[in-house]
Amino acid sequence: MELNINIIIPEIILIALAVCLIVLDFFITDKKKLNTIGICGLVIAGMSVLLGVKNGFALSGMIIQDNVAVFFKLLFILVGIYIFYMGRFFEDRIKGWKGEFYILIVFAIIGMEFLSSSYDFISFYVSLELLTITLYILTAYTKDNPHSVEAGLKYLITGALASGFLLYGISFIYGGTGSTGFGEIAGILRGGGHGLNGFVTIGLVLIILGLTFKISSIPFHVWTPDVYQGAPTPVTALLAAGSKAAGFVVLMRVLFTALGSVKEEWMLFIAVISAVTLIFGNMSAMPQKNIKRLIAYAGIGSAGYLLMGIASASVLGASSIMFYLLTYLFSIAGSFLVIVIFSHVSGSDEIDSYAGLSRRSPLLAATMFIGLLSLAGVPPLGGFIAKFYLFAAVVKEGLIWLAVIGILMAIVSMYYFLLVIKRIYLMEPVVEEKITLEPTTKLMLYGVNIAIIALGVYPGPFTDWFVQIARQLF
Amino acid sequence: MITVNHYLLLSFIIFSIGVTGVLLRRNILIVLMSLELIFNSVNISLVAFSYYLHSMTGMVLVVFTITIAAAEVGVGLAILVAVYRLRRTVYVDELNTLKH
Repeated sequence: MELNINIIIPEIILIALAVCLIVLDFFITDKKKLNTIGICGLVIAGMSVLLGVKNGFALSGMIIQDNVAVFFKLLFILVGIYIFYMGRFFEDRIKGWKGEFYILIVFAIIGMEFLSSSYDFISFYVSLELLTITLYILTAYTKDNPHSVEAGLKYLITGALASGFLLYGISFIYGGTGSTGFGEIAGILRGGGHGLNGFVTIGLVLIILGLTFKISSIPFHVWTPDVYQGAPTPVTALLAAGSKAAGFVVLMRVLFTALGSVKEEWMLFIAVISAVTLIFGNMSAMPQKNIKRLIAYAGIGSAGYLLMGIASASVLGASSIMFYLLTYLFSIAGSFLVIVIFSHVSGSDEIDSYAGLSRRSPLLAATMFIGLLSLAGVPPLGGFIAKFYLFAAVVKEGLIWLAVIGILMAIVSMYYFLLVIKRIYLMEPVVEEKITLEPTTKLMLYGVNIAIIALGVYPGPFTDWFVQIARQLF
Repeated sequence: MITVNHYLLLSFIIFSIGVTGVLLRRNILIVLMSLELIFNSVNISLVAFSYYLHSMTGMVLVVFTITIAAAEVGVGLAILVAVYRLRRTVYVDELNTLKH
């Protein structure tokens, strides 16, 4: 197979953008301009993904370009645009702010883009580490803040341990099949030439355990609350919306594409992880006082819901994972934009300080309302349709007990999200001062709200498209 | 006669020592050393498989692993220096400012 460099043009544009930002950082003193250049570069990369769609393999079969990769690349670029915009509200709070924050975010996005189209364990591992190591640095970025560096260290130690498990698993899969390409492994396992020997089973379990770190589910979930609370808020949003989606796209590629023919071996294992994660995440979210910590535990719960789609191991499961990640992105982007703006004004992330937000800024309150209710899964918002499809996928595969746990935990999640909404709408504000918003901010906030409602009211075209592209994974 | 299983046993023992070290040690420097042990045990297993399967892919992956492990530990030490400057400690159990 040949080089096919034209398939990775979007990534090349992003690398050029990162290099440009490094150089311009020396000359531009007003870092807001750097932010604008970064957003423009991301938009250009997004256009090149859309226009230059040509399916095939690149770099000797290391990289695949299919519609799943196209969807996830666009999703990551959208995440990137929102994170860059959040960065604007964060600049003033850091002493000696430097442009490298934006450069690191671009590198994290490059890592996610390569991850979504990797088709070999080597390219998969390298792009995973490109993403993860960049996120370690970003988490510890505010190095005069003890919370941030402490979170960075915890993230690094858990992350390195999980990546050790992952790599050990890769070595066993390689030992069992003699290959690292996803397509070749699938062919060998389907052909039954070597049969399913013990090495593949050990490798399978270790790889699943290693990847639970990226999607923040049991057993490598311990970092999530501390890191979400300690990291700079735009980085938390990147972890929640981007890193989790990247974890799920590789989980789908490894389990559905490479190891799909041995799915009886892992379906029940994933279903058990999913159930434990759902119960743990939603139960621990209830007593939380810090909004970022609350969303961290709710995010562990969401990983449980998304794992239901993996456990079903079907086209419907894969397409509902994509739909869930799309609605999750908009809910996270909306609510984190509110959190960033609010902490910019009031300097606090505690849930109690959100009291009376509806009287200080109706738009911020409405965005938080829609975002959190969509995370809880209330009709007619996008989150409801996403959960509905996930439940349908597991019930179809006969895992009714998992669907029952999911529905019970959806009720629990309603409880803790409504506690926040109660503070926002029903309590008296401590400070009466109004929060004024720029026109672009208003545009971004209206954008996410309309997207969440549109996905809930009219999901048809999206689900059809997702079912169509999910077939390519099997 | 040394077979692939001997190498796998060695790699498993080193991997277990590394995981135990990460989970039980209090000093973060020793935790970082244990992480290196984990990565190197994986390298042994990859090279052993690569030799017995007569395939080069495993050795290519080892080169990438060594590079990435170095980068990972480099970032880890840098963050540890930042932690030490603020907190004057390298013990895991004293780093507990993030509360429920």
